[in-house]
Amino acid sequence: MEARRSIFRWKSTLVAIAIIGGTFTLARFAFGIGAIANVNNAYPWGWWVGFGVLSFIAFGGCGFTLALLVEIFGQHRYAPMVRPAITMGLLLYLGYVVILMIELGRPWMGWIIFFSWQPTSALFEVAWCATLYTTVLIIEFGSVAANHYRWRRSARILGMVYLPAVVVGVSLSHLHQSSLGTLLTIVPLKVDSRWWSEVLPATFLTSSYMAGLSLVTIEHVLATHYLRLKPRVDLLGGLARFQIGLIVIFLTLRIGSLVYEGATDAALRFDWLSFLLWTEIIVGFLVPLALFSIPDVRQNKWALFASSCLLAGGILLTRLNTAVFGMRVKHWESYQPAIGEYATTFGVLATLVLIYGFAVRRLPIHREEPLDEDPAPGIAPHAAKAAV
Amino acid sequence: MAEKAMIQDNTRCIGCRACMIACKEWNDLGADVTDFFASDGYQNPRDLNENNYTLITYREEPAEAQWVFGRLLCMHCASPACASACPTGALQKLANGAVELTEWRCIGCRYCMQACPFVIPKFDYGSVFPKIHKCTFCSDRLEVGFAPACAKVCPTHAIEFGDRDEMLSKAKRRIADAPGRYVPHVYGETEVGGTNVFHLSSVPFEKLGYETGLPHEPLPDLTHKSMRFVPRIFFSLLGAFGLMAWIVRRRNERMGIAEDH
Repeated sequence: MEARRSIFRWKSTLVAIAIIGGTFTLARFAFGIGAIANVNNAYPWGWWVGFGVLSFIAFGGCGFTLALLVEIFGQHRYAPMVRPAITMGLLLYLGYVVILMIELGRPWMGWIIFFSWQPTSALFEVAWCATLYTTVLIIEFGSVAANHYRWRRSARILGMVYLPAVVVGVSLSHLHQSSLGTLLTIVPLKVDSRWWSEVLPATFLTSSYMAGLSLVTIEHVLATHYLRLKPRVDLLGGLARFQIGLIVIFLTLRIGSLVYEGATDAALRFDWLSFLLWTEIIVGFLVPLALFSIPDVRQNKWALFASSCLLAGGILLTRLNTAVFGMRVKHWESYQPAIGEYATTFGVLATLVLIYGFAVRRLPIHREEPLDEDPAPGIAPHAAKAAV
Repeated sequence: MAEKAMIQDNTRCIGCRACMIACKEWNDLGADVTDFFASDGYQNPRDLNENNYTLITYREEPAEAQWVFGRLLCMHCASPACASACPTGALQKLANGAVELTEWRCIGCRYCMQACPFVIPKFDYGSVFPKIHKCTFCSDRLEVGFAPACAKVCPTHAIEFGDRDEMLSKAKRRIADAPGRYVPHVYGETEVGGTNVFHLSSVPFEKLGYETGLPHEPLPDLTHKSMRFVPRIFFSLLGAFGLMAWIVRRRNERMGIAEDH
């Protein structure tokens, strides 16, 4: 009873956020971008790109990360994670497209990117790869749906293209996830030295793997909790082991480039940006690294959940630091995200969560066994407290 | 047509703003409702915008007890970061030296604004049908053999226009002939790989509010370092992942692991 009431409360909150976001979106198309956003002539991208594009795509990386793990590296035991990952990946990419339509000044001309040839532009590459990859996600998702509903002909066709689509999709993802970092390499004078580096493509790619695995872990713990299924803590523990390696690679690149670009003085300066930098590195990466290294943590779903949340926060922060907070243009204009920018992005995010919540109950996304014990409410929250 | 360039000799500028008016007339730009603002220049409007593709900036220089003027306009870089960043090819570097915007191809992504080291392209955020606005180098005038509108009207010849080589040697000669009058630097000769607008000044350029400390290498090179590998990386990944996926599937078939995704 209590769980149901809490879900209802969550749902009404999400619906409210979505409605507010929708209202701001209508205002944007009726009165222009300036009416709802603080992006300006010196800071043309801001929160929409930092959160809605760079971060949505990072976490949308769950689809390709799991496909890479299961279908290409042959780690078949993680197969139960693939369907949630593909579904979330597809939703996040669609959400990114919606935010792009809000953010672009002339979205009605967007199609022209597919009739252009601009191989020097990282954005051209991102647009092509992300679009093609969204198609791949639709094929992957469609293949699951066709198998489940026994649409024989579609299932046969999709079954044939499934593996090639996975291979193409994983390759495309490596390209556009890294190109998101390339987007910002052309502005060494505007991104603070603590975040700008020539290895941005590599750090963006590494953090997209981590973002994907964190999101899959967070989803698995929450979904099995609310759907009363047996959580596969063994698998989550396995993912945590991958995370350890990824965090080490990421931090090596991150700290290495910081030193190489000569930003150590800036990093040790006592100011707001250095505070953000050390929050990112310590709370967002080192603490999760330490937690994931503890065997007890890897066997406790709520501890894994908390560590993954920290890591996800670290990835979000590193992207926002690079594209929003660490962006300083020598100019008289300044930038703080406007309510309208938060409202539209969170509105899209709330809609995605609602759709996912609906999908996860109607579609065979989770096939874990139901919990045997008496589903007494309150067990899990206690465990959560103990773990955190 | 030979590659053209412009000299902006700020020591000759008297702040009459005829260039701004001529620019508005030729490009059919609207008027602004302006505001008083504090600090950083006395010009009005404060900065370039959708109605102003060029702007004379006014600063007081205490050492000289007089106004020093500067001019904002597109620098028409030799390797423009904006054109390299544009995903649709709406911005192109032309043989005559201009960086030209094809308005209808613009999708409003504002990557050119982000990429430009001089913070030149502007966007009309207040409009429901916005677009990018920037100096055109009067490319349409160049095509019929005219000089840009601003160069044409300047009464003191602070703005001069001609072939790029000639303009560059002229700018250097001026500094050499009157070393006391100029700071010894042609702004635009090496900045971000060179531009097609050369500024001269009597005070250091940072005092005019110009972007200083720019690298001498073209900015697109930074992106090019990774972008040029994209096709190679894509096909290598495709091959490697394809091979691995095929091996894994064969192994699974042999071991009788069911397809379960």
